[in-house]
Amino acid sequence: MLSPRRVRFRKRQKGRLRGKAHRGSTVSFGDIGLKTLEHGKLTSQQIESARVAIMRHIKRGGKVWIRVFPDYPVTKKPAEVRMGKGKGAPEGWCAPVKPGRVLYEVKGVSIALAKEALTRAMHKLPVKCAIVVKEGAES
Amino acid sequence: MAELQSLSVQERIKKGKGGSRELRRQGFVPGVYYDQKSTNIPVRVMSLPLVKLYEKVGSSRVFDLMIEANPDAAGPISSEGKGHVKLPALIWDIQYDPVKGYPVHVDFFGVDLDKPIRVMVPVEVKGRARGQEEGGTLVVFRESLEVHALPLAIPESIALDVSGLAINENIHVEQISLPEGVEFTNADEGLAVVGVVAPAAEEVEEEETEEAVEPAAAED
Repeated sequence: MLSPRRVRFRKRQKGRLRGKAHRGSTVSFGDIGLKTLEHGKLTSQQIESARVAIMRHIKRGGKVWIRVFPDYPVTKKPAEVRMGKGKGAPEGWCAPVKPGRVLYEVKGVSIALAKEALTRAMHKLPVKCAIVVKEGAES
Repeated sequence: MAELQSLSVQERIKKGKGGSRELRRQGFVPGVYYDQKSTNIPVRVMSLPLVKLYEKVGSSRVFDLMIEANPDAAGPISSEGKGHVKLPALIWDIQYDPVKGYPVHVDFFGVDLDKPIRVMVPVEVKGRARGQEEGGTLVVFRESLEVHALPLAIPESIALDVSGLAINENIHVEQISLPEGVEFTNADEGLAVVGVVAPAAEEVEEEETEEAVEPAAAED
């Protein structure tokens, strides 16, 4: 699963997500992409799960790009522990995304097959998504 | 000479973030016209005609931009006492909303019809490559190419017939023929534009082994 090799700080504050994704909001590498319509935090497990869903459906011949990287630490307190006594231990990684961010791109397969694959990936993610086709790719 | 498409825009008074947002609420797209003579006119245009024009002319074909004067704007057109001016222009840039996809800002670039300019022209692939029948994948390495030409001579697109391409064969910039008076700015760099690549069998095997390992790792 995706995770950073090395980080400066183990734990970070949660923060809030506001606004739209002005960078990474166009299909740049492939012919068709999956774009998020909501704010959210995608865990590395969800990103991997969606990628596997795409790869299993398109099988061979295509290329997939993952446009997000989970570099934000997520912490969790152990079960049955009272509040306080400091922040929990690092549990995993997530990628905060804003509406408009392209998450995956696919190229080298038919648009119909890619749409089906991306629909399967959509079901693995915690945010509402839309499929976007690059201008001229559908013809 | 074929008659050019035209688009009517108005001089814009409302500027900045607040003014632009107000215009967008009314169905306008804020924009700007500029040229190489340092003319700079803020304009507003209705969204639908702009989208329709962009579908026809793209960013490489010249059209007539009709800028209507707005006396309140005190811009260069109204200050000269003219009702409107007609200027040949290109759509230089359109910014879109990242979620909804509608245009939020447009740049018009005024061109001098007697002066050559550099423009990116889209590549259009025609036919099905021989290599695709043999299992290869057609890859467009460059979706647009920069040409140097007089504004009215700029082609709408660069059509490439790929039917003769076998696996591992490419079409390079220097192999493409252009109309008279049009030349590539990077013809001598030997850039590949489109090609057929062999299927990546190794990657799929890697994928399968990776997936086979996953359930075991999850059980741990």
